[in-house]
Amino acid sequence: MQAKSGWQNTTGSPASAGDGPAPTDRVLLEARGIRKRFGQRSVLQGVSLAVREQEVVVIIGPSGCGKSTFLRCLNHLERYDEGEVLLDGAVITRGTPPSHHPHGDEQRLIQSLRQRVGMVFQQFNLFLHMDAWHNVTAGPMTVQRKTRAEADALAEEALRKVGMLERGTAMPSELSGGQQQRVAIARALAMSPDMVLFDEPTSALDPKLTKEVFRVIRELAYEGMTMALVTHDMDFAHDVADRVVYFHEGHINAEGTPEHVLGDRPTPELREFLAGE
Amino acid sequence: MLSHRNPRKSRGRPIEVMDLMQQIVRWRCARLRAIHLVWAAVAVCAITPGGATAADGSDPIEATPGSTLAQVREEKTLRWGADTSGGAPFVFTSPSDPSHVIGFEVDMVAAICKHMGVEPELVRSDWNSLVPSLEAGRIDVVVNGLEILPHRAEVVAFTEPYYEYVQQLTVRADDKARYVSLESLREKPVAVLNGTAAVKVLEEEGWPTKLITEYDDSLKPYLAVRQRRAEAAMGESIIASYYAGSDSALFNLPQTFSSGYYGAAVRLADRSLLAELNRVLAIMKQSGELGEIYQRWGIWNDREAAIGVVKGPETPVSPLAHARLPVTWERTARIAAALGRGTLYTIVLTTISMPLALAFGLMLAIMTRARSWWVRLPAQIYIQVIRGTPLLVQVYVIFFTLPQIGQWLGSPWDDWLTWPALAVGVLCLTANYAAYEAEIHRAGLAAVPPGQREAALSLGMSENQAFFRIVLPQSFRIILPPVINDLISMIKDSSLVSVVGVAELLFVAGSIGKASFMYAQMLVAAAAIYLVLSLVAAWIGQRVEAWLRSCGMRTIDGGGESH
Repeated sequence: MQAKSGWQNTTGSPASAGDGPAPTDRVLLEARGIRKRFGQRSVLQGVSLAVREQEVVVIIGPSGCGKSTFLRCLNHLERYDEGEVLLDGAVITRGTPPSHHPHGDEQRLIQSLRQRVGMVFQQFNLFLHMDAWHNVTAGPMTVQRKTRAEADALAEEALRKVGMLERGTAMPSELSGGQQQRVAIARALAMSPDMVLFDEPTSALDPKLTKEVFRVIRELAYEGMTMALVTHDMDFAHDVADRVVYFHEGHINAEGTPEHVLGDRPTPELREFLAGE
Repeated sequence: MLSHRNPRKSRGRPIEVMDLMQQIVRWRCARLRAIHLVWAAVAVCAITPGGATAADGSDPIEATPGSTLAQVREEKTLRWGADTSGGAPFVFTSPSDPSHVIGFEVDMVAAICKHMGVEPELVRSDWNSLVPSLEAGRIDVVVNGLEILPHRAEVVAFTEPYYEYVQQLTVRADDKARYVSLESLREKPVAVLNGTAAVKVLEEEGWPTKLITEYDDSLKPYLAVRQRRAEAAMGESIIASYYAGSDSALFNLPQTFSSGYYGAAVRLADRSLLAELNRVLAIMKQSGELGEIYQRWGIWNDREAAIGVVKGPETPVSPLAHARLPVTWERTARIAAALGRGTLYTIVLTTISMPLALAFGLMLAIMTRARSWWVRLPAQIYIQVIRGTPLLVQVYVIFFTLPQIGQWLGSPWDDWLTWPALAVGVLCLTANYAAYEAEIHRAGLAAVPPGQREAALSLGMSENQAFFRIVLPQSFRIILPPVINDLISMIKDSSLVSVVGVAELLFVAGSIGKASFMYAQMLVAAAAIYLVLSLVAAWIGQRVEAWLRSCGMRTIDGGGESH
């Protein structure tokens, strides 16, 4: 479906990450020694990663290397076996055996993290029974107990930011994939998060729609939003990242500036991966 | 004399139900078996005609405190059980005004109650449920053409017989010159009510089974003769007189066969109530009061004198004692009004039960998705057991075990658990349909993409918020068509709860039909009303779906392009 928003035509030249504010020294979200197995298969073999305030970390790697699983462990949509996740230096979750299900204080800590760390999914996952506007206000009203008026103000700001303000009454089924993903980003932003996780946000989109979503993400980076982003798009990674992390078979195989990782290609696995791209 | 089988064994219900009921009765009675053995001997004495105890005295029987008789006097109400859909002229829906129940037993009980200084309260029940209802304490006495039979006397205590019945042959009036006796009908098909003494008479006379056509209610044998599907019908003389007596197309042969007695039945333990009923019956027999009632209903004959009934003053036969009444606008309007009330019961049953079943079913569905096996297991067992057993059995079990549990728990539970019939009907339909709705919910919840829950959780919602605000509303849209399907199914299944005495549509239609010889017409009328109700339900379902589609919401055939 043709994107109808006038936003991409009216906005000036896209901001690049290089123009965005530099990361501070303060670590916002940190994962330490995350290990996870699916049955016999070890998906994450002790992954540690610290994301600093205003930093944009892009995670790349072949399919099945564990990068999406790692991202989902960060906000505990996925349980992990060993390691811990810290927010502002405080431990939020730890590795648990498979039979363990968080409840009580444990559950409240996870929810408090999720309120501050938003997520955008590959399949958008817009609430199908609500229009775009209500998708965006659902979080603030349900979770943060905002009034309708407060939530409407947040929705207006968030939808304007992604260029979807005039499509507020549209149901998800009436929107293109790119438009849906922009509403999904607005939904995450309406919670006023400290950080957003992007799990392959453009993998379900064709190149044209991919462009409009990347434009929104680049804009966020420019405004200094802290982000961790999984993608297969090397050009976008190069463009938006402060730091690129290469996952290989459940390990971090290489990491550094985009120039270092994508240009110097420091490891044989990375060279093989990038040659295949 | 008492050796034949139950003469009106399954009025209106298939034979298996009776067997099943007997099993339920046996199972329920296991606890009381020892008491039964003691009382059996006493009961046998009570069924011998003339073997009266205190029946000749005219002073009221003294009631021990706490006994049923004491309770009847205290509440000034005698609760008596009868099947109003059963048959004329015992206790039946008035063909001239279906809002009234009439019959010779209605008049008889009214007279008995007058003598006792109490008011009669008719508790309607399926004929096969009368004895269990008596045992469950829903009624004090059964007066509904209950034959005094040895196997029954083990379970209930019978009064002195109040009527002696015989079997009689009915043929088409055109054939009355040809068929003058049973002998002249040899080699010809004869219609009977299933499981009655008539079957035995015919078998003894050498009728092969293929020439004996058995029907499941008292009207159908006579219809079969009129419609030439049988050459003759054999049945109880008073039923023959009601259906064929006023029908110029039918003729009752004077020859009679195989007699037996009707008695009123009380619980074995209620000795004082039994004595009081016997005392009153004896007075009514001697005074001619009972004979007058029999004359009014056209069922008087000289055999009754043999059990001590005095004929009394000459009394004309009531026009209501025969099935054929003139069709007038007023009568049609009354029948329509009665069908309307029945329809209302059907609508009330369904509109209360379906939402409850959906809610309870949702609870079961959530339980089956639980992580702990001890939460999952009870829900799974419940669903399998309820789905795997007939609704009719569930209705009987709930109807009879609830008060039983109440009695076992003692006061005040016995009052709390003796629910009115409508409440039992709602409970049965809810309990049954919840099992089906649970599976529909389960399918609907599974059909909501898991990403919906994850997206909700990623915003910081709790599992409950994600479930009730995000997943459930979407699941509801998916399950709407199968739920409407079940709603239509429930509208028709609601007729099954008539066995506990809810006067819903099919029950009303059947009652009027049987009493007025318009069986087919009434059933077609009921079918038409069911069809209209189903169409309305389907239409509502379509409107709701269309409305959801117009909102762009996802329904079964209104999918989005989102995935």
